[in-house]
Formats: sequence, structure tokens, C-alpha cells
Amino acid sequence: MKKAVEGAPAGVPRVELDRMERRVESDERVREYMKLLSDATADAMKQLDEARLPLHILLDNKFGDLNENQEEMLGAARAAVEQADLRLRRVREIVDIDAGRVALRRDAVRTGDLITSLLPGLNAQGQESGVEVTADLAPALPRVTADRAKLQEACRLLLSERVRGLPPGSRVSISAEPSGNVVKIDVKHPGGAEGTGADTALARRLIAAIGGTVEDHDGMTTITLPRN
Amino acid sequence: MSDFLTLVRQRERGRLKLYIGSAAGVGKTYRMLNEACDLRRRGVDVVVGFVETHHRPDTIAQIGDLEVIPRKRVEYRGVTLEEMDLDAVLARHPEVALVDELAHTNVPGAKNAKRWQDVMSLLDEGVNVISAVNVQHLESLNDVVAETLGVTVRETIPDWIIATADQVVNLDISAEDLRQRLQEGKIYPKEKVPAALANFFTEENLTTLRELALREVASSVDRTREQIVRREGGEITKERTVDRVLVALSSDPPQSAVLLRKASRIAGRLNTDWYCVYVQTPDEAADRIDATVQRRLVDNIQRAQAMGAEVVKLTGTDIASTLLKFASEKGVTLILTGQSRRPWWQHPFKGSVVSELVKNKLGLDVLVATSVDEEPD
Repeated sequence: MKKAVEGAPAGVPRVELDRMERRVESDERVREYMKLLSDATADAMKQLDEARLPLHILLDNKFGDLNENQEEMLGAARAAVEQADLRLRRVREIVDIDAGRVALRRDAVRTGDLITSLLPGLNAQGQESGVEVTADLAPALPRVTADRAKLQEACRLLLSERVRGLPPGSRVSISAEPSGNVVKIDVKHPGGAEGTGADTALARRLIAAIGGTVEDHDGMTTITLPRN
Repeated sequence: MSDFLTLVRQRERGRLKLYIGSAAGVGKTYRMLNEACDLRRRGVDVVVGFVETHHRPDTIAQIGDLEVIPRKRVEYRGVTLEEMDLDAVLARHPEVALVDELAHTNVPGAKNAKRWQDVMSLLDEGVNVISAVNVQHLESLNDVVAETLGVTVRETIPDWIIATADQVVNLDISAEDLRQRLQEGKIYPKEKVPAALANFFTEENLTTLRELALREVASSVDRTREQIVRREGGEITKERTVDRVLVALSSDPPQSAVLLRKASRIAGRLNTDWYCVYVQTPDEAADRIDATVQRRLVDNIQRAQAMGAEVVKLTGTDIASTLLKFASEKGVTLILTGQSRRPWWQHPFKGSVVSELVKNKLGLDVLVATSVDEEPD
């Protein structure tokens, strides 16, 4: 902190110096929190694996067949632990991206194929709650340069958030077409479905890490991805 | 098998072929391995990603000299767990990978929680997959299986996986034959057979599962209406027309067996694919259709599949329009149907599916078959 202030040009007003000090303090605190969070989630996930492995082994009948009650109890325990693990995994991924610790591949991703691969799951999700999901994709969508797995996860999280929680009879329309140096994916949905949870936070960061953007306005979410 | 090979070579994303069975021991893994050997003989780069032989000698023998990707081993307190090494399969990047037990839950710490997610990863990377699952593992059937069989299935797969599959094959075997296999020790070790026969492998359970599997496969090939509109120059592209044959199957079919045989022969002569299409009207919904009629329908679906048809179930109020729309989309050029069972004088008032098909303006040929099977098998 002192170094940052010491490095300031001469003649900088005290007020400005104080502001700089507070900013540096804040940045350091954020870095400290990120490290604490990262370490805590890593530890917690290790402990959860210690719980999941025995459950998995027992449910795999490695020590003999289980009766129905045993299976039910152990199955419930495993499901709960897996949910906790998934939550922690999301947070961990967010922290890793913010800390610049995520290595991304550079694949030439066929946008059309990628969105198409997500539709069956989205349709199934929509059907459960009476939400219609439609897609209108321009033919021969250009490829984008991105980590295919991460991009797919980001799109899945975002699109799933847009479908989740909508009242029956709602409609979510996905369209995609090239626009100059980018590919634009528009998701039209009833307003208010933007989502603010860990899933959306992760998805936005993944898209940003790929060099894309996510914008929400008036019932439309637009994902913009740089072309290959 | 040639259909799958053609599909394999057509697209960047991998294609999925799924074997569905009604229970353990119907022969899913055996058939997968058999197909893999055949693909390899034809020069396809195929590997075994993961198969579970359950120590069954006949199944083990089918592996032969197929390339097997070594499993990932996880040791935990003296227990060794083995999983498919997804990274190794991806690195190897075969043209086709066999991945057994789609509903399996992976060891904690694996890249994906479920094996079906591993399969999706393979498909995303352009690896074609042949996989297998038992019908009771479908999410939508969980309640039905629990109620009718009293069995709670923990490991499930989402139904949309079946809808995504490019080919779905039902391995059908009668309850009697399956129980016979069990008694011969071909499914489980001898000491487990009495309990299996008394608990899960009862005649009733196996018959129920068999019907579920048949219905599920018939539904699964009822392609979900395309929600993707592909534009090319402002016009919707049509699927390339090929000489395909369609048989219109009705729910109460005295002539169906004859019709199916004729379709099979014609398709054989034309060396083409053929569809067996059943249009379910609201009167024939699952909760309304007569049990005997439904059983006959299931029998004919099974017969059609055995003859090599792709069975499709559609829903609609206007049978003829529904059939014609499907035919147009799938490049069908010949429709086979039986004669109308309505007296000729009712046609102007109540209509006739056959008349409507014959009058089609799509340029489709319609063959109205008699109930007499003129050619010997």
C-alpha cells in the first residue's frame, strides 16, 4: 500500500492519495478473499469426495447387495452430497476465472452444431413446465474461436436460466446469425428471466473469457461471439 | 448396420446408436461388440471405450482382438474402482467408440457425473458412439417401473437422450427365453439365479419391461418436430429425395402381416430404407385404446422392426395428412396401405384414408395391397 502511494507522482493531492490507498487496500482484500474462497472450496470439495467415494462404493454393491432401505438412504445421501459438490464447483470455477487461472483451448467451433446440441435438453426442460422453446438458426453459421466445452457450458447455463421459472405457456425463441466479425445469438424470452445466480455469473464470465459479451435488455438476451 | 456407417460419415458432431433392452441379459453388450467387429472388418476405426461383460464367457469372446482403451482405475481404501478413461478415448479419437451402461454413475471426481454425459462429450468432439441402456433407466419410466415392478431404479438418464440418438434398436427377447438364459447361468452366477427368478426376473416383470421397451422405441423414432428452421436463400431446404418406402400401419390390422412382408420385399428389391408408420389418433391414445388392439399393435411393431423397418409413431387427427407430411419430409416415394375397411358407399360421407392417400398431390405412389400374400417368403 505504501509502495503504491510512494510511487505516486509528486504534487498529487492528499485526497487523491487517500483514494488510491483505499483502492489498493480494497484490491488486496479482494485478492485475499479470492484466495480464501478458492482454498476453502478446494478443501470442501476434497472432503465431499471423501463422503462421495464410500457412498459410491457401497451403492455399487462392492461389499454385497444392499436391501431396499439401505439403497434408499445411501442414495439420498449421495444425491445431497452431489448437489453440494456441484454448488461448490460453480463457485470454484467463478473464482478461478476471476483469478485468471483457467486455461482455455482455442477450437474452431461450429456455432450451429453447438446450439443444436443444447436444444433437446432445453426442450425437455421447457416441456416439464409448459414452456415452448424454438430455434431459428441461419444456415452455415460461421465458426467461432472458443473453448468448445466451456462455450457449450456457458450457453447451456444461460439458456437454461432463461427457460427456468417461466410460467406455463411462455415461449423462448433462440436465433443466431452472423453479423460482421461476430456471431450473434439472440434469446427472446418474457422479461425478468435474466437470472442472477451462480449459473449466470459463471456463464457470463466464460463468455467474457472467450472474448464474447452477454447483454440483457427488454426480454432479449444477446450473446455475441467473435468469429473464427 | 450400413445405415449407421453412412450416418457416421456425414456430420461433424458424432452420431449415437443406442441399443435398448428390457433387462440384463438380453444381449446388448454382445450385440454392440458384434457390430464393432463387423465395423472393423469394413475398415472403420472402432475401439471399446467401456464395456461391462459381467464375466459372461459369450460376451467376453466377442471382444476378440478389438482395441480396448484401458480403464481408469481409482483406488480407495483397498477398493479398486474402474471407469471409462474419457480423456484417453478423446485423445485416441476413434471413428466409433463403444460405451456400455449409459445410465452409470461415474466415480466421484470424474470429469462428468454420469456416463451419458461422457457420451455427450464424445459426440461433441466428433466421436461416434454405440451405447446401451435398459428401458427402466429412463427418467420418465421411473414411476411406472416403481409402481408396476416395485423396483426403484436409482440411475436414470433423461429421456431426451433417446430422442437425440440417431439410431435406436430394441433388443427384444421373450420373457421365457430370458428366464431360460438366466437358468442356464448365462446372465448371473448360478448361486444368484433362484433369487433373480423369484424377484426381478418374474414372467410378469419381464413382460411388462418388454412392452415398455417396445413402446419406448416406437415413440423414440417419432422424431420430435424440427424446431430448427434452416434457411438457404430464403427457402426452407428439403431433404434430398430418395426412393424410400412407407407402410401405413393401422391399430387394428388384420392385413398388417401381409402388408409388412410386401413392404419388406419391395424395399429389398429397391435396396432402400422403409418406414412403418402408425398414426395415433385421439381415440387411440394410450389411456383409451383397447388392450387387445394395443397388444396386436405392439406385435406388429415388433414384426416390422424384425423385418428391418424404421418404426415411427406419429400423432394426428387426420391420418392421411399426417402420413403424407411425413412421407414428404423423409423422401418417401411409395406408400403401401391396406384396403379400406369402410364400405365404398360410406366414403363420400366418412372419407377414407386410402382415398386421401391416393389423391395426394405430392407425386407419391400409393400401392393399395390386397390381403392375399401373393409371393412366397
